[in-house]
Amino acid sequence: MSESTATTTTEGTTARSTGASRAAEAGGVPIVLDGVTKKYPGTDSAAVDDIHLDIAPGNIVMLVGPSGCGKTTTMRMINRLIEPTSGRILIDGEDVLSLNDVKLRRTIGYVIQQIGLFPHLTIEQNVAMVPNLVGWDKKRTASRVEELLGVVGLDPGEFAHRYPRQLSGGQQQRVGVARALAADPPIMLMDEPFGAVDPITRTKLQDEFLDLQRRLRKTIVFVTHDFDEAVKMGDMIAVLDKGSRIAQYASPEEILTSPADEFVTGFVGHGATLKRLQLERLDSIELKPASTAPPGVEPLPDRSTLHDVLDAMIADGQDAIPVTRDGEVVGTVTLVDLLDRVKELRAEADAKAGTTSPDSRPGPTPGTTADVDLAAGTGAEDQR
Amino acid sequence: MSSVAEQIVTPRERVFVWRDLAIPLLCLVVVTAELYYLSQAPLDAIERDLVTNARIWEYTQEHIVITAVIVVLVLAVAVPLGVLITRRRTAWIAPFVLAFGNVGQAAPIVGLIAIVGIVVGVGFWPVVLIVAAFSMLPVLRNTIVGIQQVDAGVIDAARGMGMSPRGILFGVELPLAVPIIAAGARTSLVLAVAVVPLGTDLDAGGLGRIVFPAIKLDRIEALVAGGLMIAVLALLIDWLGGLAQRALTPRGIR
Repeated sequence: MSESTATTTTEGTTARSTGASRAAEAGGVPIVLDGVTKKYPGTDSAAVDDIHLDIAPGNIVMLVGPSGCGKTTTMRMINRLIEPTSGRILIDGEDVLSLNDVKLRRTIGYVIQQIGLFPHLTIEQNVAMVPNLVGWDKKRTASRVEELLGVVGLDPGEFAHRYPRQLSGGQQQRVGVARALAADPPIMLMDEPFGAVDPITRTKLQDEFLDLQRRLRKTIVFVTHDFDEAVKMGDMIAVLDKGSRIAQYASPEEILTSPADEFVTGFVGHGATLKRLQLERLDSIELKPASTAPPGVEPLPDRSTLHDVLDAMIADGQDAIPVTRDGEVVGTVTLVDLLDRVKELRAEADAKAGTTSPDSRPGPTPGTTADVDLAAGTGAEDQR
Repeated sequence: MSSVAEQIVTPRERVFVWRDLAIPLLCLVVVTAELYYLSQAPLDAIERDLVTNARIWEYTQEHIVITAVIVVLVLAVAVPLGVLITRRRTAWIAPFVLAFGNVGQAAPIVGLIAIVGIVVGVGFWPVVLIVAAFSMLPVLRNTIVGIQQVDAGVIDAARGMGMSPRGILFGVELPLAVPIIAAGARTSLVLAVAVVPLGTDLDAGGLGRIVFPAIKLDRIEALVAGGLMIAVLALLIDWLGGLAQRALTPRGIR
């Protein structure tokens, strides 16, 4: 994901979408939130207050923020599960408020943390739901279901006729993703889709979903409270404060290297430099000859992140690790080279931002995010 | 959540297993024994006339017909009302409908029968209406609970993928509520079987036509025969209800 552009759309600007020609090849369509506000009757403050967000086609945009900041509400207004109080939401230039809400939702994939598979229907019937709603013929639907189960890594022969309760949590969410993709929507809304599975399964699902997205190039709005997930999954991250105030809308690299304000710094948390290493691949470092590799150390593929490299060095107690490309050892990476690369990255970031490095900023108060969580644990997010 | 879902379960529960025959077999044995006893017992002429096989059979049929009509009526009224209560737009009817259901069940049934007999008249339908009102509540409550217990995430996903409210009701909520609604219907059925005899004085028919004369004439053998048939009927109808409940429950949640 690190090759994504680092364009920044500051709060308040509503750049016009560059439109359909890009969308056609990108698979996704642009989404524009223009002054969108949601105020529930009888509440003083708006759950979402005048949000402006410009989402480029084919991008994964992460809405990240503490509980109760309005990120889920913001997402749910895009497919009108929640009706905005005011403002416009444009999908591919068309105002969604002018469309029939039920038909609109059939063109938007929807994946939620609770998964919500229909327990009384087979996996096949679950995935076929939206194609059936939009009136695909049986043959087309059947072949689409088979294709999609394969895409999400479930053998159709084994799983098509099972019921949801016969699947593990991870398998169920694979079906959830397949079901959302069934009618080939240009847009996907995902609300903490991998939040309820164990960490190992989550990592696996994230990686596979990223692989899938590289091919599909859908426009994806992805809600999470987990900043690490945002860094990993996002082309762009919108860090949201109370009332969906956009504290910063930028690429993961930019948010990690130059957080816009105290709130973002607090949300990024400690170890921004370490997280930054997750975005940098090993192939950005010039390798030492393979012969310098210490014997008996497990090599790493060159697609690994610098974070993986550092992790392996610490785990193995080695300051040099052999690197493989397509299974062949092609060189060695050393701790010194790694540190040099980190210095380079910091210099680049400083040059770009023209500010001090994040490490010299005041650190976040311990427990900042937790406090926000507790204070804002109620409210609009759970409305339906 | 995932830890529970992690285990792979294979639903292999069938609609019918041989063990299910226990109840009807028991009923058959009891009825046969009773009929044999009646044929052998030293009964006087009045009593013998009251419990002929033909009468027992005729009144049992009447009883079944009344009960069936009552339950159809209860389902036709209570399920739609229960659904309306769970719709946001019509939820305001809840207190009125529940009050009706509660009063229907709480009102002294014998008094109600007397009043209806005087005000409305006698016959099949007055009794059907009274007993239906009396056995409405279980179906009503279970319809509401059955729909409300459907997982919120499932409904959210259904809405989010573009199912219409009607599509969600008939395609998701009601199928998932079937086991619970059916459990309510079984309770209503048994209630109806047991209460129908109280309508005997309104001339609706049924096994009350053996029980009440037997009480008035102090004929214990006939009273036991009538009571036994009602009990057997209640057992059998509940048994059938159980089979229907299992058959109607979607396989994925069985």
